[in-house]
Amino acid sequence: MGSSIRRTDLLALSNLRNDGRKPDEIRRMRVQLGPVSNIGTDNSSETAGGSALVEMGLTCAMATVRGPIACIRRSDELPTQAIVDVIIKSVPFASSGGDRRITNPNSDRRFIEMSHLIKRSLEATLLLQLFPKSRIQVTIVILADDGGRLCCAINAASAALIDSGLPIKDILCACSAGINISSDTTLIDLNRQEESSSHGSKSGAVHLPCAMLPQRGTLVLSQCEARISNFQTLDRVLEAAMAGCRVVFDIIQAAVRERASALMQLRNGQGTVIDSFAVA
Amino acid sequence: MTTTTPSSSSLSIAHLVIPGQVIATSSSNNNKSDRFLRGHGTYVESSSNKGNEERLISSVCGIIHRVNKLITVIPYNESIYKGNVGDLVIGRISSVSSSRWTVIISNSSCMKDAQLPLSGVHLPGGVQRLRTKQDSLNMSTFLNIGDLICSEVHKVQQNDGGSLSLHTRSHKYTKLENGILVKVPSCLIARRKSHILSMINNKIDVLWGVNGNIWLQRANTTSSASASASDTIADLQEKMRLEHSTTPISLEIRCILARLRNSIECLRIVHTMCTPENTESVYCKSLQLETTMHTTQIANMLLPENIILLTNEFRS
Repeated sequence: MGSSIRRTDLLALSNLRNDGRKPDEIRRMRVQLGPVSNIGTDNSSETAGGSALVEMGLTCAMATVRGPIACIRRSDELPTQAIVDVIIKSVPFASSGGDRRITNPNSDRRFIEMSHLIKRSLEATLLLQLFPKSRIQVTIVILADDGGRLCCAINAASAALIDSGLPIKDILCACSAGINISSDTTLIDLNRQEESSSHGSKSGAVHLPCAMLPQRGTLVLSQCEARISNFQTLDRVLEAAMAGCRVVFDIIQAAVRERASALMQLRNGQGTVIDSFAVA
Repeated sequence: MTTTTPSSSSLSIAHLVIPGQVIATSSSNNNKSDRFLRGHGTYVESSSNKGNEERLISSVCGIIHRVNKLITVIPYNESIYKGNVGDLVIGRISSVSSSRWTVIISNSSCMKDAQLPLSGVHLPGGVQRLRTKQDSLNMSTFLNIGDLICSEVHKVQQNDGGSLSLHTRSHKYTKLENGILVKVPSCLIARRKSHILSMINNKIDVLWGVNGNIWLQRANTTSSASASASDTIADLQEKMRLEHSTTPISLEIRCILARLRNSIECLRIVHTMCTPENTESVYCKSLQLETTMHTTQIANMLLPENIILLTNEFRS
């Protein structure tokens, strides 16, 4: 009876995951650059230098970037470089599944931790020394959460930075990876079910979000709270996550190139009007 | 030849680069003449593992612009206005502090606010003297919070994250009243010789602020009846400004202003350069269409189908 399939198994017999993906396949990812107008009326605060909406499967995050602007407090200013402020929020209806607690994002520890992690990753990406005594403000809103919200938030922030035209070292890409203990295969871009499933392991599901600068090959973030039995396993999971980051990079790159060439053609008087512009 | 620039071999094609893409490499142990110069939008990184190779890497997404050895990348979406000395900018006073005003010049609050020092404005009456304590107490009577001004960039403070200091020490630069402000992305405004132009048979004065703010107002008529021989130029200017701001605008001029404003708005929505020529051609086309088709009234100009119709000629 060893081959009986339970619904909680992460990999079915056909070696496909619950949502029909292969183990090394990321969810459908969509990147929309500039959903927020960068022209505001005088009294509206709904403007941003750059913005991006990133969907990874059912997880969705929107990021807006403002900056370089003046620091709120004089004492926050650094004489040699800019500071990065990351504000992360979640809409009340974001969470999928049973977890529908009403949390205050200002005091929720998971959000505070996330904003710290994103801040550190962005600091590693931005060329901050070009803007001394100023502040770059990144606001991220989680619109839907189906697992992997940290990665989705980082990807959204990264795309918004590109859209704002702030100088960065490389496109920051993030992807998570985990491991299916029972068949010992690595999975990438985990959804909520895979994140929370602890089937077959005593110490909870392995979930390792990782962010890297793919063109330089630098790892800027990796976080793992689960217990992993040996170094080889960790290496494999990390390797899988990095492979996922490279796939994410290709998607962001394609979106950025498409947007840039469309906008530049329009400005030079070629090309056709993109739908989003025709909305008056 | 140690510098390899694979991306700029043909000058006619604009090369799009993404952040992190390597634009050029050179080995720095050779003679210095072969090396590139790092421009805006790029950074240099020397990789230690392959000898003394230096790599020039793009830091923004945009097209490569090359002048001899200087390689710059121009971002596709210059939402952030980077000041240049001498630019005409239009901004709003956001606060009055001792001896200087703070001016918001960015459309999307994406840069630090500019400073206009008390020493950078003409005192009323045009007298030239040191600013006294009394002047700094009277600052809010010259320019108050919420006033719109046009001014020139005096200095770009590089050690302060590129914050700007402005001046209005010319009769061209004044408080703006009785007109329309249009906001566009700063990348749609081209630098030109003169940024203050008369348009539509000299009926309208248009100020093309390089920061993306455009000001439309009725042309200043020079026939001020109240001018007396004893008036200085400064007095005349002041009188003209007051006259301009207090005289109501006629319906005809109002229509022209509204149509011109919608013409610029059309160009912004399709992300085409907002030059005076383009604006005027959209303006003329909308007039033509109104007489022939009776569909494009001023208010209807911004309907999507009309925008496409009006800006057709800018797309090939």
